Amino acid sequence: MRKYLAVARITFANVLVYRWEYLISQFRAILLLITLYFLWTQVFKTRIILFNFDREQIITYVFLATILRQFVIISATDQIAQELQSWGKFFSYLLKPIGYFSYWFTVDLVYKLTSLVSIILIIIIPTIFFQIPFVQPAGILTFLLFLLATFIAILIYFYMGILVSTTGFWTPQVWGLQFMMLLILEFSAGAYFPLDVLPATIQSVIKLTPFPYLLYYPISIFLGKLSYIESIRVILISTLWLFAVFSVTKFVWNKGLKAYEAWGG
Amino acid sequence: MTVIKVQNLTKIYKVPQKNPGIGQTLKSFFHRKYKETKAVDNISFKIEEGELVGFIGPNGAGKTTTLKVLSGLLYPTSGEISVLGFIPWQRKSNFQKQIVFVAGQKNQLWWDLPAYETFLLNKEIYEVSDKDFRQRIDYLSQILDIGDLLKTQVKKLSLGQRMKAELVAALIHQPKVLFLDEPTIGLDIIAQKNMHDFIKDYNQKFNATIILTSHYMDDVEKLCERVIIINSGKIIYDGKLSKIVTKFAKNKIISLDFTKEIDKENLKEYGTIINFDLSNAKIEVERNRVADVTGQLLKRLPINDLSIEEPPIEEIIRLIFAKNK
Amino acid sequence: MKPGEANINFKFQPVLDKVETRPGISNVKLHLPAGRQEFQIMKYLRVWTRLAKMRFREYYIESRLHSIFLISGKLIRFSFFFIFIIALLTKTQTLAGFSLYQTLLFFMTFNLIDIVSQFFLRSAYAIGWMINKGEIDYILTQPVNTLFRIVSDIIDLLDLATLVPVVIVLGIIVARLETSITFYNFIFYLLLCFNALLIAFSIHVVIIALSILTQEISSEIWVYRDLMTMGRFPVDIYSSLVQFVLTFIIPIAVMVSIPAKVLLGILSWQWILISFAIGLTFFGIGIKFWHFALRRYSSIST
Repeated sequence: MRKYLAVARITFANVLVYRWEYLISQFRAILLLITLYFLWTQVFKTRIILFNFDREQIITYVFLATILRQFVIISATDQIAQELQSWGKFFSYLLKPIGYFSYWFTVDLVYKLTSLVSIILIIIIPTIFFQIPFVQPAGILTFLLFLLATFIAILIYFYMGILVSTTGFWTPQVWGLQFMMLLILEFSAGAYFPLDVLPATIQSVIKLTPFPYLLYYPISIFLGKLSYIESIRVILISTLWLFAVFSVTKFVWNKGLKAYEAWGG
Repeated sequence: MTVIKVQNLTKIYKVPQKNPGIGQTLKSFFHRKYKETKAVDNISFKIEEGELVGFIGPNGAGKTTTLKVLSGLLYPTSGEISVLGFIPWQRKSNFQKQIVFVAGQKNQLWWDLPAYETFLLNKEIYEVSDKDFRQRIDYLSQILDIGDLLKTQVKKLSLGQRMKAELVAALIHQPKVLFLDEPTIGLDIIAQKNMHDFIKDYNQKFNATIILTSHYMDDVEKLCERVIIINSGKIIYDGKLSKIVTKFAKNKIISLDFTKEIDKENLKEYGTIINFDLSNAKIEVERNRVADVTGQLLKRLPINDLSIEEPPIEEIIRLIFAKNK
Repeated sequence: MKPGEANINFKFQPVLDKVETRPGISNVKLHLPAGRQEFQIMKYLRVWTRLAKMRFREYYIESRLHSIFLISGKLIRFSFFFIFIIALLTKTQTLAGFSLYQTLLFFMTFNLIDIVSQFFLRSAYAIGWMINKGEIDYILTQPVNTLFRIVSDIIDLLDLATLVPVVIVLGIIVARLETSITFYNFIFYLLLCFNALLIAFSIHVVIIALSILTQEISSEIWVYRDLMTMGRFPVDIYSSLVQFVLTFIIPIAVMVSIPAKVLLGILSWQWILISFAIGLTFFGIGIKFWHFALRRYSSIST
């Protein structure tokens, strides 16, 4: 446990060094929020209900999606790909008495916690100031189910990030893939708009993937769009997805490690 | 014809001082503090067409700064500079077509492509005709012996091969004035020698004016008749390499070979003993006493062989810099 | 001893004779041929094409896969937004008073300007790397306009792969617009698109100049990228304060919404003039700032 605390400490120090870049990246996140906020405000000027959302619900959706994105879809794991390129650095980890995945999970957690600070600074405080109307969760149980779904989402994305990075075992050209995956993932997770907006066929295809379980379903639970039974069903399915993604990642990782040792050693 | 004329050149760098922390950064945005460093301090010299001049001095002496001013990269703080009749920092294209600046530790070749691709780029930038381009590539790759390597990815070349390819890229437009900043840095002895031969050859064939900086004395000794020694931004010597010795070395070295073993004590009165091993010895003697001492030595000691040597230039220059610190 | 007097070699006579007989040697031409302007334009075209070819080969050798993913990613993003706008507008009929095809015209104009400006100005993202590598110093000693050379350093011909579908879709949408388009509106649309590129160029130049001044890799360019995406939808959706900022301070509106409005014939001539004025002002500021930065670089670089 103590060594993970040490990892956390050094990661945090590193974030502090690059705090300016960090703040800028956080600032960029709210530009999209501004666009979406005004877009929906405009749309709801002449309507009460659209796609089964009212104004407060859609605005809450957009804000929650922006906030959750900073927790769920921000991950340190995309750095693994770069690290695999410098052979020596990667192997120095394998030699250390610390689990490689646990190491990155610790780093990841620190990133997410620092996100919390900036979210309060640049999202929550301004929203209170501008008195933006929000939907409250229906009850404590709804909120707990939302937290649980979000926690599973964080884990799913953590392993997905590693899975994409694993391609670094075979090719140095990873970040193009990372970029493409991120775009597909953000859209199908509902980061830009709730999936309810899309035509039914596209919706049903996307819902067959693990992506909606990252943002769309947790937010739907929060907004009370799903009954308790449905919420629990969603959480069960996302747990299954977590195991599936975890197993595939583990499998590919071990394969990659073998290939890597073959040409590296 | 005088190609380079430098008169009272001074270059002061104003480096903004950076402070850590966002608060400090914001503060310094409005109220910047500068640290001034005098890189070059009131220097003057002239270089004639076809000269090959060595610029020597320790790190931070102002060598690279001077080259950068001469090639138009830096504005001088004060002083008058003319190269080929142009004012370098105006960066007129007719000036730029006649010069080149090559830095040994930086490369302009594209890493992932064959060197030939960069040559083609420079051909367009310097507006070299197809015919000239072909002839120059033939000539340069032949003399540098890298013909078959021009189609190889640059990253797959050795450092020596890469430096040669850099030279070809730099000389496609056949510049009249070459500024070579540490051209042999990092090269092995053979590559270094090839580089020397080439620079000398290019200088003679095209009557090109060349200034090179280096901290390998070897480069300068092999190539340059004239050297400019610069330290802390000031010129402390400008003249023939061979005359450095007479100017700065007060002593000469007498090497002795005896027919039989002698006592070390017997030598002490003639000069400082540098080394001694019974039948061999080296002593340092003041320049004006050499003739006198030699006569006495021959008379008094059983000498088999005697020779008079100048101290190595490298040593002298090291002493000059040590003294000027 | 006076400096420089100790050793002056006069060896021009014999060597000059040799020069005449060497292969590949012609005297350095001191005067440019007549019609210098045309000559220079051709030269710059040739340098640009050469750089484009080199980057293409480099990407082909080193990062084929990478480029394919990058382009697919962009096309996916484009498709998703396209579907979103259609899905939204099918339900609502209008957005801030614009019909589906009108809204799509704004979106497609955004894509057009974004892709073309990215194509020509991609190097702004690599400026930090160019400074670190000392590339700027080489460029400064070469007989080619420094800003041109820096800006054309990275040209990705594969960007054109995204431009082609965008132009086709744009054409289809223009054909389906409810209002018919007059010839003059079309000409002004093109001119204002050009004006938009001028503004994009100026903003990139300012960012490049900032990097050269601070000698640091900056993330400002990414902020600009995200601001630009605010132009995906007609600026009329924003509050008046945001609209003001997007018109006069970071003129995304002038770059995207105004050309689209001109094509729809709903822009007054005053606004057309103001837009060109904003474009020229930005261009002026960009160039001024660039010269300032270059001058500063030449005095403090170490």
